[in-house]
Amino acid sequence: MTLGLELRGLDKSFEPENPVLRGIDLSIRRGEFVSLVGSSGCGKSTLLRIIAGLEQADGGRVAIDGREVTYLEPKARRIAMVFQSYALYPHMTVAANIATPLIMSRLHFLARLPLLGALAPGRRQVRSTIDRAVEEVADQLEIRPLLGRKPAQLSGGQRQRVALARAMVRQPSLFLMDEPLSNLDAKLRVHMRGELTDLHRRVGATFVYVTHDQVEAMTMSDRIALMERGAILQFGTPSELYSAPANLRVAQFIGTPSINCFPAEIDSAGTVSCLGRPVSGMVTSETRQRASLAVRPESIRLSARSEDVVFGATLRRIEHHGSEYILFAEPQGRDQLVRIRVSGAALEGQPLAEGQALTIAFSAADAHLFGSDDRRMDVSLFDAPVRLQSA
Amino acid sequence: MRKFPSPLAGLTPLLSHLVLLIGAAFILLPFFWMVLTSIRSPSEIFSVSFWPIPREFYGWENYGEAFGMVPLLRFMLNGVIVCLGILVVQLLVAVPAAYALAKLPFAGRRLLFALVVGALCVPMQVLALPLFMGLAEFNLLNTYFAMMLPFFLSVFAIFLFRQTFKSYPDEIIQAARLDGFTELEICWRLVAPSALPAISAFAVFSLVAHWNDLYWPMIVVSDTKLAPPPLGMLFFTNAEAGSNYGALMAGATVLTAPLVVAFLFARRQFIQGITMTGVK
Amino acid sequence: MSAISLPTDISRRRDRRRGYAESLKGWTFVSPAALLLMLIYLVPLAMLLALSVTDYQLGAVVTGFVGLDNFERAFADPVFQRAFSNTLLYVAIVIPFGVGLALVIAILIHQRRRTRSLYEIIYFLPVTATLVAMATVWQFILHPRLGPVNKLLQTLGLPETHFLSDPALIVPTLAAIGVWQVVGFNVILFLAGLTAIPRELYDAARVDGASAPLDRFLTVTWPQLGPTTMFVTVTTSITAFKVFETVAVLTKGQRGTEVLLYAIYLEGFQYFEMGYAAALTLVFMTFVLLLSVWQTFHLDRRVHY
Repeated sequence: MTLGLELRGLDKSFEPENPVLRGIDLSIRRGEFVSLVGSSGCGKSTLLRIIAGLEQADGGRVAIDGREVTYLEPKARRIAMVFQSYALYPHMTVAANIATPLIMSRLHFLARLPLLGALAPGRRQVRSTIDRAVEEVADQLEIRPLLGRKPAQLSGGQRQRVALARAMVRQPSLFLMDEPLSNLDAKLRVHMRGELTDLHRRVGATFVYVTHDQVEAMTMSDRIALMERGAILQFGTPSELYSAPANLRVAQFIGTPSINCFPAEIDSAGTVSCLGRPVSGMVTSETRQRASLAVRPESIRLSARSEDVVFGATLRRIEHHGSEYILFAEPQGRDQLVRIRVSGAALEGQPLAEGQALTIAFSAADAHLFGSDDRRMDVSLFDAPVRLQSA
Repeated sequence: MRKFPSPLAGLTPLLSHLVLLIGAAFILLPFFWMVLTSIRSPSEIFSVSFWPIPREFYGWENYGEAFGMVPLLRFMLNGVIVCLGILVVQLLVAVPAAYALAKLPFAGRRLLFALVVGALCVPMQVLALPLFMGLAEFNLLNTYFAMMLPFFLSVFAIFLFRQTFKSYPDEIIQAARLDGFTELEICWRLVAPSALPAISAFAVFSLVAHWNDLYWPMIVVSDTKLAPPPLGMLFFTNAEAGSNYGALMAGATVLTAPLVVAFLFARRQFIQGITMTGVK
Repeated sequence: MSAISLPTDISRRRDRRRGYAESLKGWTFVSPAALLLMLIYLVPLAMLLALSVTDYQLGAVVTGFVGLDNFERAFADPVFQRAFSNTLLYVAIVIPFGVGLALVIAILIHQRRRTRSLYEIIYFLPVTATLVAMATVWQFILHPRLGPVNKLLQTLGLPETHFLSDPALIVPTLAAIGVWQVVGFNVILFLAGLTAIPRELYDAARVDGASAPLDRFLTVTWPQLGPTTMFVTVTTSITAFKVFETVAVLTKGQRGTEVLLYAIYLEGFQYFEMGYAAALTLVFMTFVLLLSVWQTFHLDRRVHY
């Protein structure tokens, strides 16, 4: 099967001592929706610009649909791109904006010249096929009534659609999107998320979507590539990233509220201890290092079962989120707030007050262990109760 | 933007440098020739050589003659007096007016602002005739005052400062009033300092414009002792042209130098001041 | 109802009194400016209008109303006609070259990184230099025997050219000096316009297939520079219309080189024909006003905001 997009060993640096991308490898299947996620400065936008051909990598290869395009101009790559600011030509009507990519590819240079171009033979037929294509796309995106307007007369959501139409009109095999929703208000953003997913399903093209918003990435993508400091930390489906993060920083980036981390140690026998006490039931093959034990907020419970890791803690803050609550509890003797997600139903008949003492617990099976290099560690689990501090 | 590997890639910057350098040669030619001639001997001037180093350094003689033939220092002093006089009055008049137009409600404000905008469209040269007659009537020709009077009001300054002052937060002005500031203090001690970039840009514009202005001084001043640099230069050209080009170019160098040197030292402020105004 | 409520007519009176106080405060702030506006703009303009229909000469005892005679005389006067056509020719040369060259140079400078400020300084130098002094230098440079330009033409085997006395060459020569003076100013304005164009627009154009420099220029640069170009053209034309210094230094209006402002200067301040000069001034003013209004209106259609 040919890949929709293949990246091999891409390197890029603008200043020699400060590389932006370090050996990026990525294989994206045809028709897949892949998000590049990471905090700002992680290199995701540069990577997208290299895929588009707007930037040239220092080393490595780019192939689109099995065809190497590393040294091709953007226009020769059969791609379309939607920009963060939409980058609509302000002096052109919506129709002219959408038509531009077709005019550029289908009309000869002389035929594009103002005034003179009107004399070019065959120009009229080409123009009418272009106009039909524009109208078709406009219908699909329901912006036909806007075709005569200028971008300045459009709302943010309408500009977004025009930018999408301009991308769709030449039926590219690869769509590149650079934070296209970040200029919209929160409500519209959620709505457009759904529309983009529908669009992807309808068009069937490969999508590469850059965002810093992990919720966007989780809700829309088939797979996510999480980037940090110019490297891909993990590439996998949303549920893989959530339930089996390959790296502590992946675990911390994905999920709201973010994951709880506790310092842990591994002794020479591979036994894990957390906060100075052994976590019995958890053994790893690697030995002798500092580590971190990470637990999702929903995996922390307010009632201890026999095999659980148990803390005594003080409740510091309660946040109401409608159907659920986020509790912030401070474990005894530690300067840290543990985030706990509980459903409203679970708290019924159990009134909580800030300042009250709590017993919080999680099972070793729900905990992720990360080594001193932040990489995920394999663990073996045994059933054995442990009490770090009796409540 | 990064270029893609292409056989022409290395040629483009070379070509653009070539064009820019040809243009630069055209721009710099008069400056180069002026300075070069001012340090050349008459014989070398007459032989018209392009060689950039004078065979015989004749600067002392040329500059000495220039200073001896016309009072160059006096011209520059006149320029300083006139320019500073104009600038000080312009600011004293325009800042409070702009503050009132921006922040104080008063009857007739819109009319006054409309007049200011209308006056912006009227070039100074249009007003020269009646102003000249008025000054002649009061026997004020051939005075510093006559050279400065038409420029005491800069409608451009009022317009520019009003736009700048308008963005000053009303809350701070109200708070200052509650704190017991007088209106004059609010204007000069709070609002005006906040607009310092605009004010200094205007100052540069005003100084450059009036240092270089010829039209009005030429009309109201005939006394050599009162001439500002451009008029002094014109006197020099008319009276002493003859064949003493060395001295003439020395004089031109001396009179051009102050602003050019100031420009080289405060490049940003100059460019900003002269271009933000857009009017010359 | 609270204790501080007042009968409405009293509170209204107080409001009005406070309005007067506010107005007074405003007027004290603008009074110097308003006074000068009267003195420097309104009264002189009225005087100018009045003068233009008289035959007043400075110092004359008798002055008569002549109606529109001054204007008729102006348009029949070969000197004024020449001044008029010379000015138009001057403007017609300075605008395309002053604007076009500036645009080309600005685009080239904009692409430079390290040398950008150096070029900026060089091209801006003539704007700060005293034009009268530089005109004197130009006169010397264009001197038929002592100037380097003719020396250069000579070495190329071309005939000696009298730039400043050959009637066919004088106005174009003056215009070339005008371009020399204005181009740096326009370059800076264009550079500001170029810097304000968002980079994403160029990226979008490249992705859309506009990768040839001319395509990029036509799709992004030129439309985006619309407002700047308009502004630059208007200021250049107004500057060109006010050409005076170079004429005053280089030709003094001799050999048929009168321009509008110099003609006004001669009539008003050398021959003291105040009435006639006032009429000429009004012609000059309407032309400057008409020009900028006309240009603004016509160029406005090219601008898309």
